[in-house]
Amino acid sequence: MHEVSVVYPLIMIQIMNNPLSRLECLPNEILMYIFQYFDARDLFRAFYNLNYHFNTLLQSLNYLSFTLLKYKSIEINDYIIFTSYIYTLTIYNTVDIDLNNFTNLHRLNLIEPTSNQLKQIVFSTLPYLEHLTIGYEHYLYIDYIPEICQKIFSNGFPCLKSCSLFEPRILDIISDLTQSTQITILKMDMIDMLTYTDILTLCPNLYFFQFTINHREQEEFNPIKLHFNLKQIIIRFQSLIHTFSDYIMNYYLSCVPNLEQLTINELNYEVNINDYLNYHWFARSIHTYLLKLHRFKYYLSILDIKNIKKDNINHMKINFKHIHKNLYQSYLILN
Amino acid sequence: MATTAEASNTTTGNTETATGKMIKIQSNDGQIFEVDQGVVEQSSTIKTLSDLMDVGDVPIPLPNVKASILGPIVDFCNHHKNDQKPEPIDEDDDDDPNKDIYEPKRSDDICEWDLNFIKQFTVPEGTLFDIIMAANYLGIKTLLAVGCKTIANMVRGKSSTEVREMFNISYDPPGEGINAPNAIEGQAGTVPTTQDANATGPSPQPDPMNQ
Repeated sequence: MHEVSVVYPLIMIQIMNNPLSRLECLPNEILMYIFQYFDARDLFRAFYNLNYHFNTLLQSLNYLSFTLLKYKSIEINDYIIFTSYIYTLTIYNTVDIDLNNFTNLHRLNLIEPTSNQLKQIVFSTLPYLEHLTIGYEHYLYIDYIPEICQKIFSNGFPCLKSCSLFEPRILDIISDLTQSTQITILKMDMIDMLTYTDILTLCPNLYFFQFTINHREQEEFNPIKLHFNLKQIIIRFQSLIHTFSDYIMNYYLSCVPNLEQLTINELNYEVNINDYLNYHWFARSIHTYLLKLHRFKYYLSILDIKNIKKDNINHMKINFKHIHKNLYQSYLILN
Repeated sequence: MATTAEASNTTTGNTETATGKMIKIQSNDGQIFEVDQGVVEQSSTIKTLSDLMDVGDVPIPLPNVKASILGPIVDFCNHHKNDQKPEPIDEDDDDDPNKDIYEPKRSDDICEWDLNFIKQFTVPEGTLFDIIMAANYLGIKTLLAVGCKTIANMVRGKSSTEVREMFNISYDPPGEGINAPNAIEGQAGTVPTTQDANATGPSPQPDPMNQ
């Protein structure tokens, strides 16, 4: 007699005998919905090898995240079952794990990179890597910073288009690098005018640039070429309302004529609110250089904002709106 | 014979109230509930059916939901009908194009009322899954999220052995599924996958994830 292959006969029998609803009777779409609340480790720990149905579902997931805070080498046996499904890997501290196991890796965040971690990136292909974060180095000095930068800025990763490069030592070598036509999204800390110029030259296809300004007295104003592809900038700086003058902002904005979105994020913890009541909010720079701007957001972070009078806040907001003349969407956000 | 539920019946006889037109919905066991537009708006299924059908005073049949589940769902929607709607997402308003849209979602943000609401539904009685299925069928996203987050919170940190016990999850039969002789490498032989000691599959081994 021909035997018909049935995948879940026991569960079907159990359902027939017991009509109460059960977790595994939920449709796959709902089980997948539940899985969205887990990172890879918790997900596989809870659901892997329960039965064929759950294994099949887990193995169909292509966008799993995994964060490694601490790592003991003995745990590698636990992780190996899901490393090939990881889409986003975030590593803190000195965790050293073999990245070659992460064959589906699209996003890699090294929050406190070590030499060994960077060495692996330098010598791995990482064929699907689209985003790379390099945070502040864990030790005083790590190796492979020049090599990793060279690889990033010479199209060394076939799919890389986005980087967050916060390690300050990268700034020292940026001028020595070749050009990357791949990088379209970039985030950096503490850059000055010279670095800004170098970055725009280094990344001709840059579309989004977020950076923190490290303004030094008597910076040189180097000639800067127009960059036509940059459409969105987020600028952060600290408590510089008296020293951060228009001429500095002019430098940053004068070379990006096609900018569509500008966000300024000012941190001011020693605020004198009177300084802002009739402030110019860089309107002159914007009106001069950013003729294609769609949206301008100004985040002003103030300590003890609750102690500022509502009248003053309203006055600031009215002045902000007025000075930007409805030429583009403009928002002042106090937090 | 159909009966009209009292708990959620906010009017008597009239189909128009201060909050607008009242609509009748009927559970699969014949109970009828009258709901206002504030409730209808939260259920894409009921809204679509009421828009498509000129139902008049005829109840909309909901064949996949029984009264013991539909009643609490009406309560849930009545409670949330005046909630502030989330601002529409403006694609152009995304400050960070590099945001990781696949990062795990939060499940610890269920409000206190919803936490108390969902407690009436349990795993042993199967009603927790009934309410999730009904929320999915009725297209009530907020309730579906509350149900799924509740399951996620129950499971988080648990081993598969504990999850199997908690939810009475079935084993694959001997020789089938992950017990099959040709099971995908990495699945077979890593965990106890059958209750049958004489299973024909590879010998069960402890699951390293669960130690």
